[in-house]
Amino acid sequence: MRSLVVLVLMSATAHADPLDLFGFGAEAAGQAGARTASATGAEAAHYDPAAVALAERPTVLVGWGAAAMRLSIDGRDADVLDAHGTSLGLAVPIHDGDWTYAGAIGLYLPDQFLARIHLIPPTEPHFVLLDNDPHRVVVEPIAAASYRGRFAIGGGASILADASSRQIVFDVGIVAGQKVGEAALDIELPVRAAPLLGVWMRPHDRVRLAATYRGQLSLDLRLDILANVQVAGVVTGDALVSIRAANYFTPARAQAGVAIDVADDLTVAADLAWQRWSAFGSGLPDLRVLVALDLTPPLVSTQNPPARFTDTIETRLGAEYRRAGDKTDLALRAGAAYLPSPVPPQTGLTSFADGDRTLLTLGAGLTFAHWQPYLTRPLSIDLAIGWQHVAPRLTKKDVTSFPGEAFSSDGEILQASLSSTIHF
Amino acid sequence: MGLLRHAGVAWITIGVAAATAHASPVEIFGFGPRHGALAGAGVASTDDFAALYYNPAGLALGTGESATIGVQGAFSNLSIDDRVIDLEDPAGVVLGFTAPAPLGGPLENRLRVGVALYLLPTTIARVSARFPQEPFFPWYQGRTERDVIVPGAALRVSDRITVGLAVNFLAGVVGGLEASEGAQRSLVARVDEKVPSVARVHAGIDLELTDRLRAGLVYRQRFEVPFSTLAKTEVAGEPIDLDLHASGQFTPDELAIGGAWHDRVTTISVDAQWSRWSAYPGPFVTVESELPLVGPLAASIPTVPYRDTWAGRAGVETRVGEAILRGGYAFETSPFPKTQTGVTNLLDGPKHTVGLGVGFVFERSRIDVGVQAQFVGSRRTTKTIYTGDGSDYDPFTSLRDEDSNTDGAQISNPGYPSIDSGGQVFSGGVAIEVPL
Repeated sequence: MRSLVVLVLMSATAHADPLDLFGFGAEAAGQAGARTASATGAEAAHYDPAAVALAERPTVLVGWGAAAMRLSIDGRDADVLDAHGTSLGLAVPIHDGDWTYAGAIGLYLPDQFLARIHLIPPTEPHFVLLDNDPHRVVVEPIAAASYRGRFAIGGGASILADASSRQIVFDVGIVAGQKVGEAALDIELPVRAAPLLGVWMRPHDRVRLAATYRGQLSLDLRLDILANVQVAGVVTGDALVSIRAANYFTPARAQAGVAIDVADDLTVAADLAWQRWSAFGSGLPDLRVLVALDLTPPLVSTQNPPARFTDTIETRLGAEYRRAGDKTDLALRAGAAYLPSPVPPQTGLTSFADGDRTLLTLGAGLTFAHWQPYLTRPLSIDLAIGWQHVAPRLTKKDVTSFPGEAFSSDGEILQASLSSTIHF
Repeated sequence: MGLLRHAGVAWITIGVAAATAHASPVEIFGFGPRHGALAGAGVASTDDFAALYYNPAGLALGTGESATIGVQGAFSNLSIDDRVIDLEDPAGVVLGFTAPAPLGGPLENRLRVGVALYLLPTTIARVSARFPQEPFFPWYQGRTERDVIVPGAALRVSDRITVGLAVNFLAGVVGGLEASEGAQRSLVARVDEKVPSVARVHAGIDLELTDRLRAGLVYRQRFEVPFSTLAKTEVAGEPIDLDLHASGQFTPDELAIGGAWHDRVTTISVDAQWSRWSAYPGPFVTVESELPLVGPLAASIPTVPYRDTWAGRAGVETRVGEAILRGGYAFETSPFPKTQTGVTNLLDGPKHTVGLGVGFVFERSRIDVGVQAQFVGSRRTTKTIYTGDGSDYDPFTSLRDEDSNTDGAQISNPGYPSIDSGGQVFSGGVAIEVPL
């Protein structure tokens, strides 16, 4: 007797880029990430691909950051994992007359794991964006060219890897009268990539403009685990456990930025970013269990409702004050950002918690510019702290279509980062 | 160290999967065409980005800042009986960067950093474990299916002594899912699969014995990419549980010693290497299961007596005008038993490697071209049929009659009654090194 049952089950994740949350390096984090037009060298690998070609020398960025996720649901700790990880950047310019060509890479490496596919039942209230967002690797290789330090163009990719099985098979049979199991598996981590494009220009000595585009990206898990049972007289058939999960959904983003040197020692910057969250789809991964053994489980499948996320526009503002010293330069920074939530009212099956966020940051940096003979090139050390307030949200279910309990969510995120930029 | 660990792991997803692989593509074919042409010799002489693999201490012998980019690939003429076996993902990109740390005073020209990468175009890594009876070449099949990411640093301790440390990175997949019937009779599941980083150390020392003679010693730590997943599912009150564990991209602990003689135009390198293959867990998957009507059952895995291997390598580089001519030879024993009379069909043999190459120097840049041929010794593996009562059966030493109720030996093992193997693997590449 063979029977087939298909079960679909749901859980959801929607995520963005952790560097969008916390910044790439303390210099950017201190200005709330408003660095699209002002980042250069290794830091620009994340903020504007074109600007990596503005590096005069090979540059390395090394940093570490942490965020305490103090989020709550119904007044209780939402049990969201704190985030901490290392940022690394490398820009290598090659000068050729009026042109400079550069290769670069920007990296963020969470300390605890490179990525996590973490699926929670969709009916269970949880922070759909902040639960897993900060916990993934970011890899952004870039190539760029600049002309006389006035105009630059660059492109690259934001890269992730899927986890997928070509086969996972467990054969159970009878050999010489004994039950025997044998298995084989073939797993790969194929590369996923989204395009990164950037353009940068300096129309005036005191003004820098930049625009960037990043394509949509996600990490997909595809595991098919097949148990093939051939025990004559007892049971024959197979069982397949099939997982399909999309994680770390990172929407397409178009961003523009301006930086103005309002004084020789003061720069202000502003960024505007549109993020296409509406492409999120249902956001619900599924697990299917196909059983073709001698049993008839009375189970049913569930339909995935669309997530109906909305596109967002983020605004970031930053300022940097610099004071040059005989040997050491000082920089003081501040920033603010408004980061609206793409998550719609949760009146149906899903219980995604989220809220509009307001970000305030402060930072400072020292550049050891003239420390020969101990340092043959400048070396900078930067520190930043930040506070994100997640606006309170009360979610009530539509009792006419989906009976469920209301829940509330709110929280704070406290972040700090330390980084160093080394010129070779 | 922590930062270096992270540095490499990150590159896993750049640009840029396994029959269980037993090392890395650069270990088999050389890290770039220069070192492929030298048959992998260079523990005491490598001073470019590839030193991070061959001997990190050599990094401190380099000068200036340089970047390297190139491609290399391989072609298999290995055969099982008369069937030729292809390599999957046989080509990749080689990238390297080296620079002195921007330090002056007493630290001037003492510390150098670098990163060496071999990146596959479509995948980061592949982990596969095969059925025990499947015939394949575990030394080759899969070794070209992994990114290699090795950042590191080297310190010139004195005029004659340098030490170096590099980290060999990648990632695995571990975790699981739990699913059971929910309130509405649909499955309710929790999934928690993680992609942890894997980091292992390469450490080396280089000694300048005389103006023309150098010696080097390097230790490369065991490396493997783990895969494990626990699927606990309950359907109609029946458990469907599978707990799988495997590892791929295995490289044993390695210890290599080398010597190099050089004058103004010629460098001769000689290496000897011991690899601890006896600790190899094997190219198979461990499974514990519980299935409806079957009950608890674990996969049976044969115990294979893997042996440590020894390798000898020699390489010559000599400058002729603006060209640099290179040649190399290497021999390595096989870790896989020649006699496999039971379930397994792990095909391999002692390997002879010959490399040739040329480098062209123009202005301050250098273009390297190299080719390599590896000759795998032919083997015939013949099976033995088990005749005992079952109490002392060892799947590695004999095959059982699968159906004793039928006349004759009923055996489905593809290596029965015998299997022939051997062949060659050819590789080559081109790279350019540019000063910055």
